[in-house]
Amino acid sequence: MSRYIATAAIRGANRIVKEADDLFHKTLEELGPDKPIQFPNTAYYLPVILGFTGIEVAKVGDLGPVLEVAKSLLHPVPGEQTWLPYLGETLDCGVATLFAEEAIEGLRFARGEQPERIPGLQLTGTSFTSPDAGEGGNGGYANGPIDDIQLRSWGIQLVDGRMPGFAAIVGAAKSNQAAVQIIRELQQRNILIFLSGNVNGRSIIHQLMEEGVEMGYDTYIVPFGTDTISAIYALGFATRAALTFGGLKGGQFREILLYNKYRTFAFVLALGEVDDLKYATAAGAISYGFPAIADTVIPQILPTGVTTYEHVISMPFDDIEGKDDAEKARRLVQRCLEVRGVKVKITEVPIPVPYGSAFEGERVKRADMRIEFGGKNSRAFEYLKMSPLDEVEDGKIEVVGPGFENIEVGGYMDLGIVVEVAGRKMQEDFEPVLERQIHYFINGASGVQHIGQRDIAWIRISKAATDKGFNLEHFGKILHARFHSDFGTIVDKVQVTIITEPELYAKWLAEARKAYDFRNKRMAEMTDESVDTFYSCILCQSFAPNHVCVISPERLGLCGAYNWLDCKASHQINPTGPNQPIVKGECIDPVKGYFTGVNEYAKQASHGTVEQVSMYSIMENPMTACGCFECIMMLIPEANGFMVVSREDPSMTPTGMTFSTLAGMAGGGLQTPGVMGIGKYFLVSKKFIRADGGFKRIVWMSSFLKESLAEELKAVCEREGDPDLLDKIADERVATTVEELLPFLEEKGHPALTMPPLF
Amino acid sequence: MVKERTIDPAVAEILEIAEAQGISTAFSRAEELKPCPIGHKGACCKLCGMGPCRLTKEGQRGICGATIDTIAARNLARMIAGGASAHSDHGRDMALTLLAAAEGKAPDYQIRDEKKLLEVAHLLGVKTQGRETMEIAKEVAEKSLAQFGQQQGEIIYLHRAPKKRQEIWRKLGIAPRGIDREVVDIMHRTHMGNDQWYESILMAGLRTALADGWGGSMLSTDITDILFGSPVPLMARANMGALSEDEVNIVVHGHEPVLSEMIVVAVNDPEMIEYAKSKGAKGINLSGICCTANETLMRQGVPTVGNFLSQELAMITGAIELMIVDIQCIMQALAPLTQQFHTLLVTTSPKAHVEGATHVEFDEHNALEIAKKIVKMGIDNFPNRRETHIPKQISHLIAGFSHEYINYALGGFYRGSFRPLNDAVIQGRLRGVAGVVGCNNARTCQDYSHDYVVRELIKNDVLVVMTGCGAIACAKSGLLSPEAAELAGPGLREICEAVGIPPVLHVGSCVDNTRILTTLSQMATEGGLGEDIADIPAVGFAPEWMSEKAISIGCYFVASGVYTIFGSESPVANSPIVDRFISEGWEKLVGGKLEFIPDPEETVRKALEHIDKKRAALGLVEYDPTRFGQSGDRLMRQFIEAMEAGLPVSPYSAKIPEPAKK
Amino acid sequence: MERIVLHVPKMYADHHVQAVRNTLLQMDGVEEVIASSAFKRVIVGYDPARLQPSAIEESLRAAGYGPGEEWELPSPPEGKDDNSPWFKLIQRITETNMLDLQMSGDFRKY
Repeated sequence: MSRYIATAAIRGANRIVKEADDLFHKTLEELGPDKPIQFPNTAYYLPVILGFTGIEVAKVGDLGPVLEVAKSLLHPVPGEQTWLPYLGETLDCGVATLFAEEAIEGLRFARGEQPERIPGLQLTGTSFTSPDAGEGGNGGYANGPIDDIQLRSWGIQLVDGRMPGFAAIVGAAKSNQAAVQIIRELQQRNILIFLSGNVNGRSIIHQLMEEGVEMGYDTYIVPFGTDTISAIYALGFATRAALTFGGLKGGQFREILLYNKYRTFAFVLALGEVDDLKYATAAGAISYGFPAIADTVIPQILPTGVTTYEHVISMPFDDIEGKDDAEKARRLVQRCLEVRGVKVKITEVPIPVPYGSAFEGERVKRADMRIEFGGKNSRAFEYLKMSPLDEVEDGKIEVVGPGFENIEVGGYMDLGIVVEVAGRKMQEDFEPVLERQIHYFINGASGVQHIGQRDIAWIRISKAATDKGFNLEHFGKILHARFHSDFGTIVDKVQVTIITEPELYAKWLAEARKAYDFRNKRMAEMTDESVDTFYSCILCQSFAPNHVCVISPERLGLCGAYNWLDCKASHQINPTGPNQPIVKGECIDPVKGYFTGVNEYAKQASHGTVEQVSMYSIMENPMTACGCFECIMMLIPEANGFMVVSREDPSMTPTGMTFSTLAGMAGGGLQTPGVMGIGKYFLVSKKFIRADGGFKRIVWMSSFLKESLAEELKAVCEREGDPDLLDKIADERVATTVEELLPFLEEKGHPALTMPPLF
Repeated sequence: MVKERTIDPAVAEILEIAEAQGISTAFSRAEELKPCPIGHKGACCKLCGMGPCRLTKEGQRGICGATIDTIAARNLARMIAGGASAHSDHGRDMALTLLAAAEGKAPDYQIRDEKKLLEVAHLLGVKTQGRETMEIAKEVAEKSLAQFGQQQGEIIYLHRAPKKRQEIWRKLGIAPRGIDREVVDIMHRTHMGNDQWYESILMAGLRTALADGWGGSMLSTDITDILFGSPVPLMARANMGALSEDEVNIVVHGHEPVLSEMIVVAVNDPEMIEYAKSKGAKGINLSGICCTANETLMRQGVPTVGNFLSQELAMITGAIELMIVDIQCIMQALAPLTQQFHTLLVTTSPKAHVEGATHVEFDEHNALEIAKKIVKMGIDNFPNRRETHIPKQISHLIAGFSHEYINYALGGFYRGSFRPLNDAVIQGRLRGVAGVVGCNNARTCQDYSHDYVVRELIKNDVLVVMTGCGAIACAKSGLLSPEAAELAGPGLREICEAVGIPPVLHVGSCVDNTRILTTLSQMATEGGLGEDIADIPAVGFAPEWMSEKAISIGCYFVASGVYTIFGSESPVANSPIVDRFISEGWEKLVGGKLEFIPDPEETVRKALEHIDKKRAALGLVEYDPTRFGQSGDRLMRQFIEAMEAGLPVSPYSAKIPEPAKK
Repeated sequence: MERIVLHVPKMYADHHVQAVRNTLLQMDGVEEVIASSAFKRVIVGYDPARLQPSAIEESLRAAGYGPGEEWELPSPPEGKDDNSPWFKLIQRITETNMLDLQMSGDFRKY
């Protein structure tokens, strides 16, 4: 701290706690103590308060003790002369500020004042928390807190480092140009951006709206609100990341804070003047190890310790070298990353539009579209094949056929993308692994949307992108750059051919389809019995230190992102990395799926917390989970079966818990018989809970799964000899309690009811 | 003349009066009475009736054949034993008070710091779950008392040290077995015709010192905290200006807080204040001298009038109605002064009677009543006050830095740790840390060495912690105020500004040197600075030492791995072998060494050399002050001043325009 | 347009800035508001023909942001008081918390 900051922060803390207390009493009087307080779609109550104190705030009355804790953390303002020490005191006041801010937001939700109304704001992506979003309304609201579903779906990216952390931006930039550039710089590094606060009534949210920057989950930009109080949602997100992925419990404050210090690369960027409450909030963030950087004159705090590097940095915007605001903004962001110690490898992709994972989720609406390939009116395919080294010319990008210059705006055409790679370590088995990356790589360009894969690819390019000069050749540039940077150890040469010429198109499409077919057959043939080696995935151990995924050909990782082939490729790329081969060893029990090698590995890699792992059972030594699972399975004893809820499904389940609540039980690297986190494609595996009766045991399933896996599940039902099975499985539309579930199952004659008892 | 005796203007002022009136003081006696040149260098053996043997010639032996090395070693060991017994006996009294309080036999004492009690209970292996506080306190007291009489094994507090340090002690066989046993061991060992190998004597000396530092003293600090609260920073005043012209001045002097804490209660009693008013005073003004002052300063903010050498001068102000003393460092010279001044000298400890003083024996079972009785005696003495000379000097300081608070200060309730301190040393903002402790010595200019050493150290970015009379010396010269950060080097200034601390931290009385041991242990275990106290770039100083306690403290720091410098001629100077053994010899064995260097400039130079050596051994960056000093409020203050002056400033630029020329 | 500068200590955070702006911008004759929570200062540009400065101050006062008015806050106890956080809350740590060391270290080894 500095005395100036300490004075401001302690003053701010005292005042905001008073405000929270006043609002609490007012609400208590107006709405009563039993009025529920709830952030949308979260199992973590008011997460910061839960994390620090373990108190589960569910109604207005619960806030009383919390505010008492906040008051007990307050200290007097340091004196003008012979002042008393203030660092510890200020940090405590910072935490009191966080309690007060979260309490205020909680109360505002109870009072129907959150999320904040921001006229004209449209969010992209599924924003579960905005009241209008579900009904397809017109927006007009800030996002408010991030829900658990979104947190988890970002999980794997946070874990594997693709998403290094977040920037909590508070205030407004000096100019709109600076605002946009700051955002772009962060997006390029895949850093989540949380927006809040204002300067003289104007927020960066307004600036981005004026500049037409898309905000929402899909673009990694989350507008929380236009005051500093809403910045609390950023710390709620950090707390929940620790609870979700670190397997921590509410009240383990030191673990939660250290977890964030060492594992979440986040920082506060204060744009514009800094007031008492901003200092106080920053003091709270410092306890998490998050430093604060300001673009105005404020006192600096350079000694380290509570944060890994400097605590508070001042970088007056006008004093930054640079020819314009954009360049200054770039330097500012670079300094932020240095201060937090974020090491991000940016791949320079030589295209005329911004590039980064943050643009992966961007949508190109029909009205904004210049051209599309695939979809309803045309066809697009992509095919990656391995070729001998001397047949591939690295960096060669060829467009065969006409470009889209002569197609009218909003039109369409056929497109084929053929990638030929060569490398000494390349194997044919890696072809599909690399081919799937095309989707992510192309999506990374701003103004380009990619959906699907293989011959059902669907690509759109926006008018904005083509105006900047984006053309077909740039697909090749992207793929060449990314394959080299991400898969450099197995790929030595990359050559891309973009095909629009009809004859050649047809020829390559036929060849591609032959390859797809071949791969499908090969995948189908690949069983757990046909290989000697499984793979481990301990990517998440940085988050869940005792969790180990064992990935076999018939059981993919619970995050859905890694199958056996991915792991094999990943091991090739990084032999000492998180995916290690596990020699199966002797099969002790083929039904439950016990293997000596797997047991030994799990015991060692889980640091002794897991003794045995069954690959095919949920009831006996099930595999542990980190927090990134796509689905959670849980026993429903009354129905003699299991339910599967997907993370996209926010509804109540017959277990009496939502996905978010269940996640707390399933995660953290602990074995809980009857509860398991899985990747959704495991549902269609022949080995899916084989020991417990297989797919026929599923009595309830999120409708999202039924729809998104419709084809595959149909095949499973046929394989199981009950083609109508899917219709016998309940979902959230027919049953959200056991009482509703049982009659449904009876009526449909679900097979689980007559199967042997589970215990 | 006076200028050479003290750097404290208040002391100088009174000293002039004393001189004018022909009053004898320690300062004047030091001039009249030169130290015995033979005893001074450790060359005199008076352990048996055949002596004293004075070994002044090369190769000479005593009657029994003792060499100069044996004699020097025995004398030093006995000094350690004397010091260790003083601290430890103090600790014993604290433990007995806790026991009495826990048993309900000392109703005026409570457990003020329950959290500390639980922490200590945990260390001592006392069960806490589901037990009443008093039950826990009783067992803690009993366990602590058992440490004194323990015969075998090792004392529990050693476990607070880093693992590596504990192993060194065990390997060398100097892990103390019991507190009292080690003192007796030395007295026996150094008896005529016993241990006659200097190395063995001196290693046993280290074991006794450890029994003090990691035994008697450490448990004394802990129990004092349990009874009266672990110190937390507070603002206080130091120097004679703390005496009041129109109130009853009561001064506590000595070492134990058991009585003085009760006096604090008594002087705040409205009944007492009323009584004082009835005697014509405006109220009661309490202040302290020596380490009792430090105890009440650390916990209650009671001002300190001065350190050891100020005790007589305080009385010469003529403004003190009553001086209550308990144990240690009480000059017998106070008694004759009461003949000349109206001051009443009250002795309270059965262990410390002074001829000519009034004795009111203190008994913890009846504490407050006795305290009130004594205060009342002081009030009754107010009407006898005659002419007074109260110097105006007063300095403000921040005291109260317990190691627990430092832990808190560096991260708050939720993130408290020593990480920021270690980080600061690792990065070179702090070159190192130093403990500057110890007494006043009438043979040197009062407070000069303390002041010089500390100023030099902080200028070189060394964070200083202080205890005892040294702390009071620097408090008087303003070094203990946070404003003194301006005198520090750029890196230390940044740390001070970040945490809000003075560059010099007052950690307590002389028994509280153990707080420094605990702090160093935590720094070692926190990581980044080696694995042991000896690895940390740290030094210890006792620039103006005089008591045996100082020798014991110095030796337990050495045995804990700290390079410790004493500011005087070596008391073993006549034996170059022993002199070398306690420096180089000990350094090889325990990592710390003891050196006596009279020249303050040289001590600072050697200390910095040592710190840099340790930094290099750890592979830390070379100390370079020019890299630091960019943080802090300075720029912000200029900015706000410019803004308030109406200059065209923008928050987006740190370039502040010059004020327009008029 | 004329300007007055008002000191509004209660405006210590940006949600108060919004409240102050809303109050002032609704007034007839207010043409510009620059509210700074960092320096607790509001600059109001107004048309003197339509509005008196006293009315501006009055409406701020009515909204709870009277110029010069301070928040009344209870003073928390100082460290050495028995009911201070020091005695009620803060632990007495005498040993290094090993958790710190266990949880530190390299993240994202791969």
